This record gives sequence, C-alpha cells and structure tokens, in this order.
Amino acid sequence: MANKEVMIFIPKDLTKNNIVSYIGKLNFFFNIKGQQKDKYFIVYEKVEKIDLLGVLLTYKFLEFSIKNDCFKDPSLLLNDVMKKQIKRFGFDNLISDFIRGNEAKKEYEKLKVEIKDDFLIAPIALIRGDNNNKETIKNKYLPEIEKYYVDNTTCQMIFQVFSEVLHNFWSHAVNDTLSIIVVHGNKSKIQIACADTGYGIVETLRPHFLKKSDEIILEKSIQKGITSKPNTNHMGYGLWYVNEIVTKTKGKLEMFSHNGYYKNTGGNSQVYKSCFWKGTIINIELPLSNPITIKDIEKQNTNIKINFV
Amino acid sequence: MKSISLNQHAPIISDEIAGAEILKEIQDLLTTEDIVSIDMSDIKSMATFCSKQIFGKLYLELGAENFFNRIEIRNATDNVKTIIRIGIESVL
Repeated sequence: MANKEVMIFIPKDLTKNNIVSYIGKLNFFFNIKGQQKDKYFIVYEKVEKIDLLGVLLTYKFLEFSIKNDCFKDPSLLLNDVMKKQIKRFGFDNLISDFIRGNEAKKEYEKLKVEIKDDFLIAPIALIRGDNNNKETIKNKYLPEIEKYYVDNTTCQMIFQVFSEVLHNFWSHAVNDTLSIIVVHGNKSKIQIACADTGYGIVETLRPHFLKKSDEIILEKSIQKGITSKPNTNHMGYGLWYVNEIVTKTKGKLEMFSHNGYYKNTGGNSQVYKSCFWKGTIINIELPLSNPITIKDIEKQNTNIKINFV
Repeated sequence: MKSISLNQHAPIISDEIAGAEILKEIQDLLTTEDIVSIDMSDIKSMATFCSKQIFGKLYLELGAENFFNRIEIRNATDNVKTIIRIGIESVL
C-alpha cells in the first residue's frame, strides 16, 4: 500500500515570539533519524514573518534532517518572505551548499561581515579544535565589531558575552552537530543567536541533578558556580554572567535545551516545560544604551594582591 | 625580567587551547626568570574559564607572595583586571 502524504504546515509567524510553536512543529525530526520518511511535505508557504532566530532554526532543522537521513529525496520549497530573510541573514549560500551535499564547510569560509546601517556577522560554525575557525572569528569578525562599536565599554560587554558563549559552545560542541553562531546588531542593540543539536546543556548537567526536571536543570545552569565539570577549570560563571548582563541592561535571554525553556526579559526570569530541542539554543538581545562590564557586576576581592602596572 | 605579550590572542581569550599555551609560556619563563611581565594591552576580554586556567593556576603554584613578586600584569583594562581576580578567587 502506498504511503499517505503527510503535510506539515509551518505557522505564519517564525519570529522569537512564536519560536516554541515552530520547534514543536518540526522536532519530530529528532526521532526519525535514518528512517528516510517518504512523502513528507513541510509547507512554508504561509510564513509571513521570520527573524534571525527563525532562520537559524530553519537551517538547523534542515541540516539535521539531511545529515541524519530523516527523509527520502527531500526538497525545500520556500516562499518569497523566507527567501528574502534567509538571504538577508547570510544563510542562502549555506543552505544551497548543504543541499548540494558540500557539507557547507566551504561556504562558512567565504562568509563575511556585512556593515550598512546595521551589521551582520553571517553564520559561523564553531568547530571544536579547529584553529583556523577560531582565528577567523578572532581576526576577521571581532575586529569588525570593535570598529562598528567605538565605545570601549560597549565593546567590552559584547566581547565578554562573546567570550563566554563561544567558550561554552566550544567546550561542549560535537563537531558533527555543528554549533552555529550568528550576530546582528545596530547602534542601539545587538542580538547573538547560537544553536546546536548536540548533547545540550540539560543533558550535560543531568548527572549532577538526577530526578530534576529539564526546566529546573536549565534554570540551575544560569546559577553562579554550576558547571558540568566541577574540579576542573570550569567555573560555572559563563551563563551566570551573561544572564546578569541581560538583567542589568534590561535585555533578553532565551535558552532552550531538551524540554526546558528559560526566559529572562529585563530581569524577569522564568522557566517553562517546553517542546523538545535536541541540543541547545541560546538567543541574547542586549540594548546598548547603558553598557556594563563584569566589574559592574562582581565585587572586587581586594585581599588578593596582584601586581598590575 | 622577561616580558611576554598576549596580543597574538587578542581581542579575546576564550578557548582552552589558547589558555593552555599562555600558561605554558609563562610557566616556562618562570623556570629561568625571576619576574615575568605579561602585556595585555590588546586583550579586550577573557572567558572566566581561561582566567582560572591561567592566573588561578599560577597563583596556586606560586603562592600569594611569589605571585605578587614574580608576575607583573601590564596594560590590563579594568574589566580584564576583574576577570583575573575572579579566576584567582575561584581557586582559593
């Protein structure tokens, strides 16, 4: 008997306001690895709005389904809104290359920083142990941010958040589930979005919080001193620090991992049980009107004598 | 006294491999030099992990007095100074 066609209609709104619903529509991908499902149609034609996070997740769903043989003869049909935004955020070549089977690696090397009124750092893969990848980020992308945001405190805040996010993903990244980071900003705010389909924050912390729900584990991950690797150089400060910056600058932080969803909007934070995401998604939005740095958050221990000159 | 510059790692020190390289370079110099001067002029930021990895480890190895007398940190921003303190504090 022939398989019946399965049509999955993607919601009109693929912005951060509706991202949970988008994840919920497509996260069955994670359960059909290697199954080469036939006659599945993911219908994007009704999409009216899609932002940076929506594009990033679209790419991650696509990448996961192709790498894991979820569908037989997959093809991608996008409406004009999708095409325009995918191009705007620098994912167009990446997607074409991926579909052609080039694993997208070459395209990552070509991607550039684009500066008009706003600036965009097109998606970058965070490849663990790859020095070229790290050098590219440091020598090509970060200096452009520095040039765009002349103010020292603003740069320091952005770079501190960058340092912690990069370190987090570099430490936990699994290369075949590429972590992708993309940055978009203007003079008044910056958005940093990262996603991977690896183990995820929840899974790496789970051994330390047995019997706790995913959302509680995710909430723990932003507490100071919580790390999946105690008794090492890991301190458990990174996400705590990012969260503190978000609170004090009245920004936004959203994290998804497994069935946990953490949201901090200007200091009002909450955790929810959410639909499953294999791995981690982090979306940070920082207003830049009152930038702060770590010295505005952490009290100085002046008992430690350091010879600063 | 010998000086080393961390500028090749600028603008951020954010990964374990870079942290390990810097630590080793300083440790090697300490075997022959009384004082090692570390120039951080182009370092805009550093992951707290790397601060613990480099400065926390040196503080433990040298002890408080020797750390003060033998490690000189030049041109660090206030932000980087705070991160260095956090790294040291975390090992105490």
